[in-house]
Amino acid sequence: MPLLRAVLAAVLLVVAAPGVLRSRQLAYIDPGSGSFLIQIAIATVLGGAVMARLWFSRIIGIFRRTRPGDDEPEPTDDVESG
Amino acid sequence: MSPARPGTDPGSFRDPAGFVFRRDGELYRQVNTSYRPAYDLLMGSGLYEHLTERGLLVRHDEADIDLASDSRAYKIIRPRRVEFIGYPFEWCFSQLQDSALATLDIQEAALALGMSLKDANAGNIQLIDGRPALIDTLSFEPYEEGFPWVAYRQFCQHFLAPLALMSRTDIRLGQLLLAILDGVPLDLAVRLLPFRSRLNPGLFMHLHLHARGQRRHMHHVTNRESLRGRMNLRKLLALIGSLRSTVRKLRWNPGGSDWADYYQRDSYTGTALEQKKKLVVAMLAGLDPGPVWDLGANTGEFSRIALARGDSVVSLDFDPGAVEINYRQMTRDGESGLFPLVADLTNPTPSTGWVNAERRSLLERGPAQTVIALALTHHLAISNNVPFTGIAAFFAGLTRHLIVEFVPADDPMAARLLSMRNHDFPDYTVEAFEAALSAAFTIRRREPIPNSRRVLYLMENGSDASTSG
Repeated sequence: MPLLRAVLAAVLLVVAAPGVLRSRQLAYIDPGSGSFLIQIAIATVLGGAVMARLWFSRIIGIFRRTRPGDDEPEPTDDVESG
Repeated sequence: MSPARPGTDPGSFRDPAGFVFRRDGELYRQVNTSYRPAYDLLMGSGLYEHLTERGLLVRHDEADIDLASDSRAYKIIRPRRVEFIGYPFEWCFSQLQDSALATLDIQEAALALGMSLKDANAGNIQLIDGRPALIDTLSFEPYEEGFPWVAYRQFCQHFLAPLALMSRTDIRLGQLLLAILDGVPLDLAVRLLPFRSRLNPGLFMHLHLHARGQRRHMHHVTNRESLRGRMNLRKLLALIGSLRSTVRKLRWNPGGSDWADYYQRDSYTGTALEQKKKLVVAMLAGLDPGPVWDLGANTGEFSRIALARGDSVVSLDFDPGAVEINYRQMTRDGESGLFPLVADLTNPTPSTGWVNAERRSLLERGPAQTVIALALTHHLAISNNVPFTGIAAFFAGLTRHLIVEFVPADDPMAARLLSMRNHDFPDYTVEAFEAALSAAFTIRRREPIPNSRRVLYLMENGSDASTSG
């Protein structure tokens, strides 16, 4: 499972990151440039995952509500990675 | 940059927001005018109250502005005194982990109130009331929507990388923080981590991918403004959540550690240990212990006896496993005033950083009022060949009161050390020990420990009692 999540994270980063990682405007040399850029890429993926889970749980919730007598709460996953 | 004024803390010069200084023995922090908007926001937004109530930020009072060191001053604040400053490479695994989690809690609370941590230096987190708290009041800046967290790299270098290395590679790699002031470089960390660390999504992203990103963009020039809008609060909170989850799931247990079960396998019978405890209690009762340093404290059993006298106790041991157990007991029992730290007395922490003054050596952070050194001197004298005169000089520079135990050569523990050596120790006698120590100390009490061949001493600094003090 961790392997699957790691692969998924890598795929998402490859898809989501290029736009971010292409920033090369000239202004000042920042030794943390790489950290800034990779942070944006990672946070974009993580933020997207949080949103996706939120929407997924809402959709599941809609179907659940349509089933009479099934009012058990949906178990919530840990949305944090790692 | 203005030249440092007398009394300015030599480790407090990097941040233009202000600096720490001493006046008449009291510690103050100057808040510069340039930091005024951030300071006012910290105090006015409720963040200061929120963090101090949760024990995550050191409390302070505002002091007389006339104490200002120079014309840049906006405020002078007097932070609550921190009893002992320990450095991250002296912490056990759990203390570094708790400090990392505290940093993330602080950042999340700051974001909720419109501020953000502008640095994530592990050394800014210290034990206050037995819990990790931020001691640098000027570590906050107004949160600017749309920009990344400036301290992300520092957090990974100061916390996540050493924790991962300690957990996944070797506990001793925490010592890298001594060699490298600004945390473990990520390219080094990923080279030292096992391949399977890539299977942990958090470590994969925040260390492996992060290191790759740094390498790839090492020579790239990025305009900060070009990053505006690439980040938002939702993404930032997801990042903080991911870091927290990654840190929290790292584990290290001292199971195989050298002396972790020392008390279960030393030469003491249960009766002798109880007698020794009673003697230590009695010796402490006869003096004002003040700040105590327990050298070779193991898991802190005798440190707690000293702590019961109501003073702070620095509980030092070179075994990270023993210090880990000590720290866990401290947090579990909510103990305050105890500082379990990893320290090798034969190679104590040196002064490091800019002009060797940013971080103080272990001995510069003394002196103690009382030193407890139980089951220690045979390790120094036999395992490390330190002569008794050297041991006496070491103690004399460190303390006024000394409670020290002599372990004779025929004691099972000393005999074990001697059996491993082909070198004779003809001078390893109680007479030579007393003679060497008497040159620097007055022996107040000499108590043979019942049911053992060991002797416990209470000594006072000064070969003549009238000169002690």
